[in-house]
Amino acid sequence: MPRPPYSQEISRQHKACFLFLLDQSFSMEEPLGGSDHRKCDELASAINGWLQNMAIRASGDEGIKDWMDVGVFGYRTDDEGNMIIEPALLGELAGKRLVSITEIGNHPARIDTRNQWVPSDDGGEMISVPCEVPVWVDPVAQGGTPMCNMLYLAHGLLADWIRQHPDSFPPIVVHITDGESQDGDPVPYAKAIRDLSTSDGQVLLFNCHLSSTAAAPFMFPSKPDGLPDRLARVLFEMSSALPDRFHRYAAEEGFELQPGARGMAFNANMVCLIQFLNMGTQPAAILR
Amino acid sequence: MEDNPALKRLRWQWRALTVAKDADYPDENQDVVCVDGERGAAAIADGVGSSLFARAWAAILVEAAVRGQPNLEDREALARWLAELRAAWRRQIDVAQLAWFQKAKLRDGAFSTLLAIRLVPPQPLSHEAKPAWRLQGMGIGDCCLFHLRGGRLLRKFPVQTSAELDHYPLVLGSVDLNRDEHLAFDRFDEPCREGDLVILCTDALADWALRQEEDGRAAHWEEYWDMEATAWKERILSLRSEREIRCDDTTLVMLRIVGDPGDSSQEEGD
Repeated sequence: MPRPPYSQEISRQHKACFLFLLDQSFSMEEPLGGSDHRKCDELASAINGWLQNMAIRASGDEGIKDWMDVGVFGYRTDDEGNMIIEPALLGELAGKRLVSITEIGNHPARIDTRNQWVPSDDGGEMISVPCEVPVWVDPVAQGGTPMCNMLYLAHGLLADWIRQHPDSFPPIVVHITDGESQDGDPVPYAKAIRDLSTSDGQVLLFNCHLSSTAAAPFMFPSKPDGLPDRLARVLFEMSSALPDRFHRYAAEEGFELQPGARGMAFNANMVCLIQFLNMGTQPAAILR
Repeated sequence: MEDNPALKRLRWQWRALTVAKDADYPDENQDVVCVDGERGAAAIADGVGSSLFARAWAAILVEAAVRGQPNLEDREALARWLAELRAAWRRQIDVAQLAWFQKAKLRDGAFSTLLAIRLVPPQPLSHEAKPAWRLQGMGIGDCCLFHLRGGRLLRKFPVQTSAELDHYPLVLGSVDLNRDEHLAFDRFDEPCREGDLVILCTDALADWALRQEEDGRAAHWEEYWDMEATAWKERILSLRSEREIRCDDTTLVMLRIVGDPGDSSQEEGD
């Protein structure tokens, strides 16, 4: 009996692909969800954290296993309104569209030192200790939001990748934005991405909206009714339904998902963003 | 002695076959097996591939379990047993040589499942009408056992259905993360006899076998006994390409209970 879709194991022969599309428009300067931190700072922090965790997770006794390709793109316009869509990785990886997790782990752009709160050795209290934090992307906030062009580029990139990995777990695209597309209706472009497929299933496109207010977040809605505005409904329409395996994982993480739940978050704060990243890239979490 | 089969000394005749998740990288296989055929002890462990130095941890566990299973009734003794094994794992690692991503991972340690079995002779003063040898096992996680007699399945342990393998297994950690109170070992104890076949396998093969059984096509374990290691490997790779079996480290241990002295046959694939 053939196995169900979205069940391909991730390995060197069947690499995974995670593509992050980051809104770098000027509005990302605003604070996230009522906090003191800019959305672009929190987004860069979340992506750096994800890359760090994935490099650690994919590491083995002899180094990092080449089990996944990762792309991080930013999109914005310059002061003259010219579109800028480019890989967001810095340092030795600058300009590269997709890189292996092995390259990610071996080439952070730099290592920052930050104080982090961790449990003391006896577990009795939280203490602040300096920690080395690898950095691959920096915050950017400039110009407008050429979302359709970003999705169009992503489509071409993924189509190429799928030709080379026809039997892999399908690519997962995580798109994070704080506003509406300024270069057209993104829904058809999103659908074109979702229509791409490997033998294991269609490409998954998940969309996360970062909020400038402390409004209540919407996580993984199953229908557009009740979403607060047109942008939310557009993002809902753009987003893939979560496959069964994501439902099981969500239940283990304490989410109560309804049938048909979409890979979408609206009015996300930092906690929601991290949860969304973890949920959306859940297949990478079960590397074993 | 021949009049009372229970008094005959039993041991294992055995064979083990394994294929790494990435067949081109057998050194990355995190499944580990240890068998002492003469003492009738065997163990299998599945190191969690996403953890660091999991194969080393799995090897420490199976070797220790074959030397002697811990007393699960005595939590303090179990804690001492684990502490010694964890110290042994830690001694193998040169932290100064690790990369940043490995140092970060080392804090959590390695993880592995474990399934250990042993043949236990009848008690000398047993009051049983027909004193019998016993097969005793203990396990944590999703390594599986199938006990067969004359081709008939007598017992599955600890997993009964393929659906149970959809969940994360319980594992033993090489670092004390203050979670040992949650460790729950499964156990069994049942009569066995000469000629019985005992199968140990890691979860990928167990999942395949259980789904075969659920579809009314029980696995023919006996046919693997004489199969060339290369042929078995090809069979597994073929099942993987047809997506009939999970692409994961895949290990099979076949243990035949025998009573006659002689050379024990053993061969490892891959």
